Amino acid sequence: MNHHLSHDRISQCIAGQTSSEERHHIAECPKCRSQVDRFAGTMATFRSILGDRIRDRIACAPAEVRVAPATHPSRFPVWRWAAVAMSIIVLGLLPHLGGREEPPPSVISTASAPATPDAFMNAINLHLARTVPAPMERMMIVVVDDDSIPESGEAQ
Amino acid sequence: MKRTITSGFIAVNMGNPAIEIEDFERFVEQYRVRVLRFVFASVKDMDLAETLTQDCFWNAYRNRTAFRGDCGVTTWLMRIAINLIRDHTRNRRFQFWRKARRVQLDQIRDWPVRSISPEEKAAVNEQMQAVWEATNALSDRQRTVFLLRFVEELEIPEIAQSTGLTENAVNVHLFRAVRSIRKRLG
Repeated sequence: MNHHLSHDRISQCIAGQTSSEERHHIAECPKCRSQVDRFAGTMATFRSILGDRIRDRIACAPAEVRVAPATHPSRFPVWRWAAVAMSIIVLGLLPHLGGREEPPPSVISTASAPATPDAFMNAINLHLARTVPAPMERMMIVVVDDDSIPESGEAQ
Repeated sequence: MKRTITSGFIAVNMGNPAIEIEDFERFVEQYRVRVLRFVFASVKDMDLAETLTQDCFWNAYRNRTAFRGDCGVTTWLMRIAINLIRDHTRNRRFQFWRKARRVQLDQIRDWPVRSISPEEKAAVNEQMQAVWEATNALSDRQRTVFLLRFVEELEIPEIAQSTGLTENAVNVHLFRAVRSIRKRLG
């Protein structure tokens, strides 16, 4: 009959989670006690050696007390900067990716040019018959002509 | 009333920077080894550990007036260090273009074992390397709890305050860490 503690029970004892019966058993059982002592000894050695290594490091390069952060104050990850840069590039290129620009408007737009030669000639004659260029026709509405001015001199 | 280093640092009058910096220097001298040891054991990189330790004391200096003394100074510093380590680990996870960091062997070779024979030194070196790799295989929380308990020798309530975990959670992580490491050590 095995009266020894299991691996998990001994781990719990090492972690400080043990009952009084288990503590008593460990105190009385050489085998179980050796497992607990061996782990404690290993960790004590590890702690001591680690501390010596740190002290050796500090002795070789004593740190000056700097009242300032050692890391770069900006902790914005690099990938976020890359995402921002890509967004700017895409937004900058969008207007140029929409397609061909429309040609500047001409007085006789080829898009609205009549299909037959006679109709085309009539459009040209109409253009030549204008006294005012087509873009200015709307402005002429607000220009008062001589017939609308009464003898008193006031505009109607 | 005797003015201790800790109380002097925490309660220093802001109006005299010279006294403040002198106390801070002594404060760093007193706690630097412990913080650096814990951080180094956590991140496995001495240069990084020194950087994070510097940041830890910088944060402590910056937040010194907010320290109300509801926990020990060591617990407070460990809490700052744990948060810095966690932030560093989280940022590194996004750097997928970097190769996976391996435990740097030059960090764990030639442990400063003193006053023993060469044969014993070789055995101890091998044992320390095994412990080093075993702690590296733990999860972040298990490693933190384990190092705080067995390297920094904090009590369970202090570990709970440092990590923000409940004492039950600390006990669970600690048990799993001990079981895992014992299995690896054989």
